[in-house]
Order: sequence, then structure tokens, then C-alpha cells
Amino acid sequence: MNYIKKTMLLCIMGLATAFAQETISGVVTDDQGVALPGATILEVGTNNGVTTDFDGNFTITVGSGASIEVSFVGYASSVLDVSQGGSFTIALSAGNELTEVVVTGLGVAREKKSLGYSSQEIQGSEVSTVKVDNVVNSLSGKISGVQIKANNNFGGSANFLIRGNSSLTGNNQPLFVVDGIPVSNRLNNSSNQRRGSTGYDYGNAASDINPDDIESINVLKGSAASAIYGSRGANGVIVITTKKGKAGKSKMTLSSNVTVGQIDKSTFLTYQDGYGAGYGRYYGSTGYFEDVDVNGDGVDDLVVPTYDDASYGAPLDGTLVYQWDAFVPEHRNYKTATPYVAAANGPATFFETAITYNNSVNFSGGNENSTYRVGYTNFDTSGMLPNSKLNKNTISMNGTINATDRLTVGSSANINFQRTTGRNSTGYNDNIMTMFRQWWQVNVDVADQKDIYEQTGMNYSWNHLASVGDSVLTPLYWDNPYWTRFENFQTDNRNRLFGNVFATYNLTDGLDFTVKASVDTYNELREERRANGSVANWFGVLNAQESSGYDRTDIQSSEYNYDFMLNYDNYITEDLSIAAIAGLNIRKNDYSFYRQSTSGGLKVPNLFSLSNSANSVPLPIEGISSKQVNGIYAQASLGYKNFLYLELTDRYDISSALPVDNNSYNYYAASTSLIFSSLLDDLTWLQFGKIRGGYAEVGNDLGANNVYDTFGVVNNFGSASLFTYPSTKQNSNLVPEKTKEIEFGLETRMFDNRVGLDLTWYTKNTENQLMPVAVTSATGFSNKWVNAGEIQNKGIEVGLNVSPIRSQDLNWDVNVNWAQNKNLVVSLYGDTENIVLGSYQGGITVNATLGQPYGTIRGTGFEFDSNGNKVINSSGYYKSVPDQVIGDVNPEWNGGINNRITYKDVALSFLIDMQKGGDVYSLDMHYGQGTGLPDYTGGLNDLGNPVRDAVADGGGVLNEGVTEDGAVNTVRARADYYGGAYYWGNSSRNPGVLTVYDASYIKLRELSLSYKLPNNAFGSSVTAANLSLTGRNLWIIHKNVPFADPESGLGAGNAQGYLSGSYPTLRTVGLSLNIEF
Amino acid sequence: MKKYILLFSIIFAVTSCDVDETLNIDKKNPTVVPASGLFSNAAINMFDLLNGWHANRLYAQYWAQTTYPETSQYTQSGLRNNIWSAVYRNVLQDLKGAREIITEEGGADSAAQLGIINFMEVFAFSVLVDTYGNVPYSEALDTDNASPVYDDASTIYADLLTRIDAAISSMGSGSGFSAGQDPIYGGDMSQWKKAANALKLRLAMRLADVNTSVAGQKAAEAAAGAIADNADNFGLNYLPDAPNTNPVWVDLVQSGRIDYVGANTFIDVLNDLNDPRRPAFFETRDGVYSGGVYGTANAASSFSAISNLMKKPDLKGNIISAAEVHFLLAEAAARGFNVPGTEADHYHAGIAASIEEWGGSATDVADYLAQESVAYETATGDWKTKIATQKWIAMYNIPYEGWTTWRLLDKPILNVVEGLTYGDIPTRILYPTDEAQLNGTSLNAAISAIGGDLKTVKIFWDVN
Repeated sequence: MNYIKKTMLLCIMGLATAFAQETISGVVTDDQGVALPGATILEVGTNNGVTTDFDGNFTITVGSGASIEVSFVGYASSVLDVSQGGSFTIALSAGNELTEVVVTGLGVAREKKSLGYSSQEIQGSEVSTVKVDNVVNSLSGKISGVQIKANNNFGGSANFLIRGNSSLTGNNQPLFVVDGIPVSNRLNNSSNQRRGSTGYDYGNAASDINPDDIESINVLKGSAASAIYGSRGANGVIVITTKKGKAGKSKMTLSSNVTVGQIDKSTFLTYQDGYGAGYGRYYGSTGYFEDVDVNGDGVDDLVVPTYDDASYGAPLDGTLVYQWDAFVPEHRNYKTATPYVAAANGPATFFETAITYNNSVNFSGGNENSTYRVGYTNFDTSGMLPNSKLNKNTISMNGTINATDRLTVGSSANINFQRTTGRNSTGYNDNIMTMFRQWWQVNVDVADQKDIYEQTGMNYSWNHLASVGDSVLTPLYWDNPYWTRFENFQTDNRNRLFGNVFATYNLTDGLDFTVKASVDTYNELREERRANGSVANWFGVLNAQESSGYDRTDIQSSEYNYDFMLNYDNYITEDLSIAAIAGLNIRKNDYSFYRQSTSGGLKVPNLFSLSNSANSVPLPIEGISSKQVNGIYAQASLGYKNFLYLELTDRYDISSALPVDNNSYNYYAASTSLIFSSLLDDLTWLQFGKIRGGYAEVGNDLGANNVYDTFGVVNNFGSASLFTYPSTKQNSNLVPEKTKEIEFGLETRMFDNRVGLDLTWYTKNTENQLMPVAVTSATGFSNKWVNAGEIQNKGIEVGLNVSPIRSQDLNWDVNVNWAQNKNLVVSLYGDTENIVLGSYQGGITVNATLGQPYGTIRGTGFEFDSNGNKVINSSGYYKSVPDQVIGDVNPEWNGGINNRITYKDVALSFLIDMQKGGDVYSLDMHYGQGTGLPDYTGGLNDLGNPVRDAVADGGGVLNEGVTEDGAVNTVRARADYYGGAYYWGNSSRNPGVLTVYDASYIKLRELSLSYKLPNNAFGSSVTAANLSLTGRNLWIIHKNVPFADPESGLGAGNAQGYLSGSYPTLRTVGLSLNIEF
Repeated sequence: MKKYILLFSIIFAVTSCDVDETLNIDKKNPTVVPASGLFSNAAINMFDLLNGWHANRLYAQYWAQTTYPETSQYTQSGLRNNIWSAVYRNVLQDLKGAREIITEEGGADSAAQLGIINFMEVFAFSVLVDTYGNVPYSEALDTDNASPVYDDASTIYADLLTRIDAAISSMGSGSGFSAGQDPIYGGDMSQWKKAANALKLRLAMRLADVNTSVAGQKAAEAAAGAIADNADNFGLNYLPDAPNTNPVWVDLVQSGRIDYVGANTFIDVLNDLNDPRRPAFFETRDGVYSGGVYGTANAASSFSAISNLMKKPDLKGNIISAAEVHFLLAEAAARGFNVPGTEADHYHAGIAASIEEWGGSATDVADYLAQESVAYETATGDWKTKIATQKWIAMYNIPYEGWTTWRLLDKPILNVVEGLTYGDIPTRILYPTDEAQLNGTSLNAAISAIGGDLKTVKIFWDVN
């Protein structure tokens, strides 16, 4: 009900009737008369501005007697007196003055040339042309200095870093602000999920932002830009401006888009096809088969060890044997022996064609006194796995009214309903990908598993226990994958509202007062299920092995912001301009969750309700965290003769989450820019040149409830009530952590504006980190909150725009982004030299190590001799050394090249996205090769002999290296059973480093081919129409990680670089039609 | 101008009110709890640890593994952290909290309650020492000291023997915890006192080879008051439903996995002795009891499964039993310590107590003892061999003592894993991997003091 009330309020504010003022319209062209889309029209002395549409048209409502300033990148701006109203044609000449307006911190529009820090803007079309469910993924490769990792989970989270990791254990994701509303991007996956055990990736909440509503995205990368946002700006800010109505004729836009996707097979395992089920030669009388009389003729038959999930068994030579289906009464092969061969339909056939529909309709318009925009978008997608669906309905509306000549009121609201079914499980346990990639029998036909599930609706798994006398309906490790998808699926839904109301009062010339209230609130329900008859797995609030059950989590999150802001923008003298703001922000966050589950299974099969719990329902997990931050801030930007600028920012915050005696902190920023091109009028090739520099110190405080100790409540033991100390010791002497950042930059436009270069250098140190550092359990706790540690990030960001061809009909623009971030852990807590960020199966940890980059992968490494050769033992295995740094998750650099070629009404654009370096550890390969799945575990060795032959017979794997006395190794390690060359259980001879891979990639990330249909194609009522063919993840041009996407992973968060049960990449193509009436 | 005044007064009004400090207090978790709740939780964690730590069942070669035999091959990668964090964090920290609350609150029962807590603390520290050797003791459990020193194991033992005496004497008055909060003895202090004496006897006998005089004296003091009857076993009566079941059920039944079968080492001995406890311990396979080869992968279809009795969720989890006490006394008598009864009497009583504990009848006992291979007088080997072999069988479900019996008395002779030697069988557990990062200086001092962080380094009492 709350929703309805809030929505109504916002609607009333937004769409009430209008009052009168001046509306002017016009078209902006270059000096050849070619329309300039995206040119900026700004009412002089205000923040009121619009941009031109595709055809150069604009409409703006201005105060009486106003002037407008028209500007466009690379053109001289022009100021017009529009006090008489009417319609204008404004031709801009290419000039050396650059006036590009961007939306900066707190939604304030500023001329880009005045900024003393780096920010990079992209237009909404760049994230809405090629559709993806999570807008974050659309930014990949388009912004320099930003690392985005998609993870490939259905509806899942994307890891987003700006200028590297700066917090050791805290949040490193940037803040999202939509029209001045901070929008939660909380990652809220379970700890089991994050450590790669089991669970679903519930995505990041920024995916609720509808790409179709985005006008522009401005990425504030450094602290100097984001300091005004306080502690939350420490990781950068994504400032999103949504589309608004414009005065003039009402418009309706329809957009319809369909995409289809299939897996990129280079990101999935290629299996060996020569050997079937088993771990080696120790079953029954034959060594490979159980001896069971299946057909009842009194003679023992050869039976596949169905209970073992590996492929180091008998050769697949067509011998008639009894396989899993011979035990299934409903199966056509019941009691029948079938040829032992590799499956015709391997796991790759499990994936389905993913289909996405995105349809939206928008109405917008306005008159001289009001503007409005109302939109509706329906996004509906099915994933690559059976029974996966995600549906999102978004309603957005915004409007402004000039209530009097001095008072403008406005509002915006975004309402979002998301329903998801069948997210993919992640991590090691209960994940179909873990089964396919790590624990599988290559003789099992996936289509047969599908048929028997569809025929019976029962959990007839290939991995049943009937071959050892138990029931055919008792699977050991793995359920029938179709059973998993259709019976054990999760669902979740999220209802969200974010919006604001604001009023701006013009107190006097150049001075406005704005009051704004904004809200971001959502309810989320997550339901997880296990149907009766499933394999037991970690489940429920007790995190116990359960073979059936129901688990629900209810989440409520809300954030309210109240802002009071004075905004002054004027010329003090003819030469000296000032733009200043002063304000107060009150923020209140509440996050509560409630999780409850059944225990001991479900009484009535397949009734998923808490009251259907076999045992009494365990104690729920309940939590509330509330936090309030009051902040006051001031910012002044001084401009001298439009070529020298200085901006000063200061903010003071008081946080309820800090210890009471020390709960306030101050931070500040200063930045300056010099437009040196103004001083160099002789250099005709240089249209624009600017150097800039900035320094900032920003703070960061704690999450709620980390100061005072509390006890944990444990489920009763009979009548005994139980309490325990928590594992983390709180600390009441914490102070805010501090980030200090310096940046310098150079921006130029040269050669008739055909070449633009933007260079940034920065160094950022985050000190006094707030973190729950690990301590020896001998202290009674495993973690303790402290202030300690320092991380440094240093880097270079390059943006290069080149227009090789610019003509009436043919234009070609190339945009290159490149960035390198060097990360260093400068200090840690006390004498600690290493902090474990994540500890994973496979004996692997991801760490912050003193003197190393943040995110080193540690595990067993090779032993090297003095010449750097790997040392091999007498049995042909590698020798290993424990606890080595065996990888680094940080890429050396990231980059993107975007090409846009337009010829008349056709536009082709494509994006090449690149990463150099960065390592991943693959548990998939660690176990997968250990169980004999990948092609190379079953093929021929360097001698041309079957690798699985005995070493004495010429089989085995030759590991490259030297023996302990320095001779070249010639002894082959045996590879005829799981305990050989690829064995996972003995790291002293098969070190963890064997499955660490370089995560570099080059990808053809996006491609779109658009055709602007002739204006008369749909009759006169249609003003514009556009047809596009789009593609995403079309081609991985280069990668080094075998059988997987280097970007895949568990989900967003601080511990990256670990692949377990990773999902293949979806390669999509789509068609979209946009029509404007 | 009026507007400005209004405006600034609004700003002033809002900024002058500070943030709401109470927001930072967790509203869903208690800041004050009863001591009994911490005590009960610590006790349950202690029982869960010792019943659920299956490496002991493997190291004592009671069980063998099926597909994944790494632990049987003495890989300690995961398990080396388990006892450390479970004892310090889940047991000792909660006991410490309970002790602080009881001391502060006082009351008629506080002496008895502190006696119980002291006894549990001694038990917990003895497990740490018996597992690792030197461990943090004098500086442990202090959150302000992140790098506690590791104390010498024998020094810790000496202090534990002093503390157990104090615990026993303070159990003399008051009535302990309420029946509902005492899931072990239901508030019966006389039973707690028997358990404390039994522990004292166990600790004393650990020292028999290194400090014979102290061992003899302490064993003599504890002998009369220790558990003598199965009814007094120091065990937790697990409940039928999760999460309060026996951890064996969790791993064998709830998990749905088949990771273990009986080991040939153990089953071969049971078969040789016609042991009446076999059906309580294992299922037959093709009509016979047959154990999987210890230390290799075994097809589960070929060997004896773990018994259904062992898979009962509410199987009582003993960590000191009457049988153990009798075998300790038998050993004490054999060593000539001043304890009542003869070594043969205690040996026979230990066997009887064990068979009865596993549901055997008096006839089963008599038949078994009547065998030449079993009766103390006729069984082969010296007193160590005889007592150790029967104690090892009796400690099947107190597997930590099963492994320790082998460590102390070097009997029975265990099987050697393919590719290893007899000397590779672990006599201790490696220090937790993350201690090197978290408390490196103290750890390194301890490592050099005990002679290396190796699986085959011996605990200080393991000298022969």
C-alpha cells in the first residue's frame, strides 16, 4: 500500500496542470546546414537546458527576457536573445571554443571545459540499442578506467570497478544516482554463494534502471568529482539522467526489440569421447563394471558404475553393457544392455535458445510552462537454461511545472516490477555446470535424461544407486538436470520505486533555492525450493544437507534523501564568473531482512510452504540495519575569462554508524583547469586544449551495527536455550577511513576537431581502512573490526576520438578507451602480511598481500630450479611448493575500440572490448581434468599413443621440466586413472597453479547496423523510424582460458578470479524497431 | 529578506539536531544473555566436535573411504583448521563468557557452575594440546592480544591438572545448572564430578611415560571417583531432529553420501575375535563382515557399510565412557600405580562395559571373555598389546581416544597405506594454515620448540 501512496504523491506533483512562460524552438545546424544532433541549449544564467534531437531540433521553455546559449562539441557556441520567442535556425561554425555541458555531482549542469577532473559521458542510445538485462554490462569497453565483469549468470550481478579496488574488505562498487536519486546497487548474495559453495546470484539492484529511459550517463571517476556525494562517492559515481519531455508537439515513441541467443561453444567444455564412467580400474571382476544380474537370467551382467561421477572408466568401444536406463522401469531400455559409446547428445545440447523481448512506449511533450514524459517498458527474457524467465515491467514518469515565474516544481517516479524464475545456481554444489564441467560421465546422453524426466516427471538420474542395490530413484551426487531445473527452481520478485519531488525557487537573479525529497525503496521476496527426492544439499537457515525443503527471504530496503540547496550562478565582474552551491543533505537508510526455512524436509511432497516443514521450523534469521547521515556541503566554481577555472568543494558528514564520540568527518576537494588553447590563437590546428588538476580527500564510514557487541542466538537443544559469541569482535574506537587522490589531465581537440584526446593520470591512496580483519581464533574470535591498512591505485586513462571521414553522406568516428590501473597493498593490520579475502575449494585463496596488488591468488606453485625450470619428480609429476602467489586477478589494462560509420541513413557501429592480463583459477579444470572430461585427457600423447595407456606401454603425460639433478625430464606421469597426472587430491605433485589461466581477451562485444527509414515509410504521422540489427558477444577473438569465458565467475564482489561451475557466454543477435510519432 | 531568514533557520534547525545514535544498536540480537545459554552451547559444540571429526575414525583405521581417500592418506589440508577454531571460538570463548557472567552475578550455585565450566575448559585445552602440541594458553582468549604466545604443552598439562582439582573440589556445593539447561547430566552434580575425575584419570595416564610420579599420584586420587558405569558416561543425548542430531547421522545419512565403509584393519581384528559388537558397528556384505582396504579408493558395493545403529540421529555421543575408565585403570594397575583392583579385573570390566554399551547381553560378554584370544590371562602379547587392542575396539565411537591409544601405547599395529611407511602415520595434526599469517612469530617459536610442524612430530607425552 505504501507504494500506491508514494506513487500518487509523485504523480500529483509531476503531472498537475501548467502555468505560462516563453517557449521557443529551433533547429541547430553546422555552417553547411547539416543538422547537429545532441547540441546543447542552455538558458543563460540557469541550469535549464535541453539537447537537440536526431534532426537537430529543440524546444525549450525559458523565463521571459531570457537568452539562450547554443553549443556543440567542436563548434563555437552562440548566444541568442530569445525574449521575443519564436522559432530559430542557428548555424554554428566550427570553432576553437568547446562548450559541452555535462551533468556533474548533485545533478548540476556544468560546462565540461570548466571541470578540473575527469568525467566521461555516453548517450543513452549507447546502452539501449543493444539490449542487455543489466545496464552495467552495457558500459563495458565504453568508458576508460572502468572494469566491468559480466559473470554470465542469468539475471546476475556484474562487477564494476572504477580506478581499481580501493577498499580492502568493504564495498568497491560505485554509487548510482538517477536524476539526483541515489539508487541502491546493493549486492546481496549469501555468504555461501560468495565463497563459491552454493547459491544463486541475485544480481545487483542497479539492473532495475531501465536503459530505454536513459538520456545520458556521466561517469565521475575520481574523488575530486565525487566528493560532493560524501562517503558514498569514494568509489566513483554513475550519474544517470533520464529522458525528459520537451516543450512543443507531443511525441509518442514506440520501441520493439527481439533478440535470440545461443551459447558460444568456445566457452564450454569439449569432452573426450573414448572412455566411460568410473574413476579407474577397481570395479567388480572386470575392473570397470559392477557385476549385477540385471536381466534376471541368473548370470551377472556388466553394469556401469552409475554412482560414480567421472570418466576414467572402460573404453567406449560399443560393448553391450547395462547403463543407468536399464534400471528404470519406464524406460525403453529397461533390463536391456546397450552399446557403450560416447553420448550423441552431450551437455552442450542442454542449453536452449535464449529469447528476449523488449517493448516500450513513451509519451512526452510539454508547453511553455510544463513538460512531461510517461513511459512503459516490458522486458521479458528466457535464459540459456530450461525454465529460466525474467520479466521486468517499468513505468516511468516525470514532469516539471513552472508554478510561477520564480517557482518550478517537478517530480519523477520509476516503478519497477521484476519477476524471475530459475536463476542458475552458482559455485561448486548443486550447480548443473559443476556437474557438466567437473563430474560427469561422457557416456550419458542428455537427451535421454530429458526424455525420461518428461515421460515420468521423476528424478531418474544417470547418477543413481541401483547398480549397488539401492533404489533407482536414489541419486548419489547429481539429480537429473531437468529435475533440477523444473522441480528445484528458485523464484524471486522485486517491486521497486524510486523517485523524487522538488521545488526550485528563484530568489534573485542567479540565485535559486531547491528543496528535494527522494526515495528509493523496494521489497523483495526470494524463494528457494528442493523437491522431495532430490540429492541432499546445503539448504535453509541451518545450512544443513537437505534433500527437500523450502526457504524464503523477505527483504525491505529504503533510502530517503532530503536535500536543501542554494545554487548561485553569475558573473561577479565581466571577467569573473561564479557558480556556487551550498546545501544540506539528510539521508536515512533502512534495510531489513527475514529468512525462514523448513528443516528435515517437506511433509507433503512438493508443497513449498513453511508450515510443511518435517521438523519444527528453525529459528529465523532476522536483521535490521538502519543508518542516518547528515551532511552539509558547499562548492564554489570560479571562472576567469572563460579560460581559467577553480573549483572548491567541502562536505561535513555526521554518521550514526560510527562511534558516538567520533561520528563526524570532513572531506574536501579542489580542482582547477586552464584552457590553454585560448592563449594560443595562432595554433590553427588546435581547436581546444585544456590542462586540469585536482586533489581530494574523501572519507568512508561503516555499515550499521558494527560498533556494539551482541550475542548470537542458536536454535534450542531440547529445552536448553543457546547463545553464542559472534565470530567478529566489534570495536567502539573506529574512525572513518580516508581516501586521498590526485589527478591531472589533458584534453585536446585538433585538426578541425577530427582528433580528440583526453588523458588522465591519477594516484589514489585509501588509508585507515575499516575492516573486520582476521585474527587467530585463539583470541576467541575469528575477526575483529579495526582501522588499518592502505591501498594505492595509480593509473592512466586515455580517451581518443578520431573522425577519419567526415562528409555530407559518409562519416566515420572511432572512439578508443584505454586504461591501466596499478594497484598496491601498501600496509595491512599490525604485523600481518596477508589478508585472505576469500578462501575457496581447491586450496586457493584470494588475498591482499603486503607489497603486492590487491587480489593475488595463492595456492601451491611449481618448484623451480635455479635456471627457472620446473622440477619433475621421479614418477613424472611436478614438484610443488606450498603457499605461493600463483596469480593476480588485476588486469594489466582494459580497453575498448568503438567504431561508428554512417552513410546517409545507414549506421554501423561495433565495439571491440579488450582486457590484457589478470588471472583466474579454474576449479572446473582442477576437477574436470581430474575426472577425465576434457578432450586432452582422452586423446593421444606426445608419442602418438593413447594418453590413457600405461606408462610402460607408451601412455602417460610428459610434463615439461627437469629432474631433480637437472636432466630434462623423460618420465611420463600416468594418466590412466583419476589419481594420475591430473589428480586433484595431492597438491604436492599436482600444484594448484596447474589450473591458473591468463584472463586476457579480445571480444567483438557489440555490433549494430541501423537504418533510418524514410520519413514517408509509415505515413505522415510518423516523424522518425529506425530499424536496427544488433549483436552482442558475437565473437571472442582471443582468449587463453580453456573452455570458459574469462569474465565468468561467481558474481560481483571483492573476490574475483575464481571459476567454478561457470556458465558459457550467450551470443545474441537482435532486431529492433523504433518509431516516433 | 524574510525568505533568507526562513531558509537559514530551516538549515540551522536541521543541522543542530544530531543523527539518531540509537539507530546503530542491533535491534534483533541480544546484548545480555544468561550464562547457562553460553555454557550449554559450548558443551554441545564440544560434543559435536569430538563426535563429528571423522579424521580420527580414519586415523584409528576403524573406517576406510570409498571414492575419495585423501584423508585416509593423511592429507590434512581442510581438517587442520577444524579443531583449532571449534575449540577456541565455539567452546572456550562461550565458556569464558559464561564464567564472567556467573562470577559477576554470584549466587548459591555459582561454585558448582564454575566447577563445571572449569572442567569443560580443562577438557577443551587438553584436546588442543593432544592435537597440536604447544598452543596458546596463558595469553589465549584476549581480544586485545592478537598475537598470543604458544605455551609449552607439558606446562599446560601441569596447570590443567591443578585446575581439574580445583574444579572437582568446587563441585562439592550447590546444584549446578538447571536440568533443562544441562543436556548432559540434567543438573546431576554427582555425575559431573565422576566425569571430572575420569578426565583427571585420563590426563594423568597420558603422563605415565613422561612423569610417572605425577601420573601415579593423580591417577590414584581420581580412580575411586571416576565414571564406573555406563549410566554415568559423559555423553550427549542427541535428539532425533536436526540441528540437534548426532554429527555421525549428519554425515552418513543426512548428506545422502556413501563416503565410508568399515576398514579392513578393524574388521579383520573383530572377525578374528568373533566380536559380538560387529553388528552394532557394521552391516554385513554378502553375509560376512569385510573391510575396505584402508588408504585406497574402495567400491562401496564391495565392503561392509557402517551400521544402522551408528546412523541413528539420536545415538548418544559419549566422549568419556566407563569402558575407557576401566582400561585406564587397567593400564594404571599394570604400571603398578596405587589404584584399586587388578589389571585383569579392569580389562575385563572395560570389555564388559563396552559390549553392554553397544547393546550386548551378559552372555555375549561371558562368551567373548571366555575366548582364549580375549581373556587377559591367555590373550597374546604384553599388557600394552592386550589393553591397547581391547581399548582400541572399545573406543570405536570415541575415535579420538582410539587414535590416541595407538599414539600412547603404540598398539595395535595399523596398516600401512600404499606408498607410505609405518612412520608416516600421523601422531599429531598440523597447525592451522592461517596461523602463519595471523600469528606468525608465536607460531614459529612453537614450531621450533616442538621440533617442526610435521604430522609425525610427537606430542610431549608420546615418548615411547
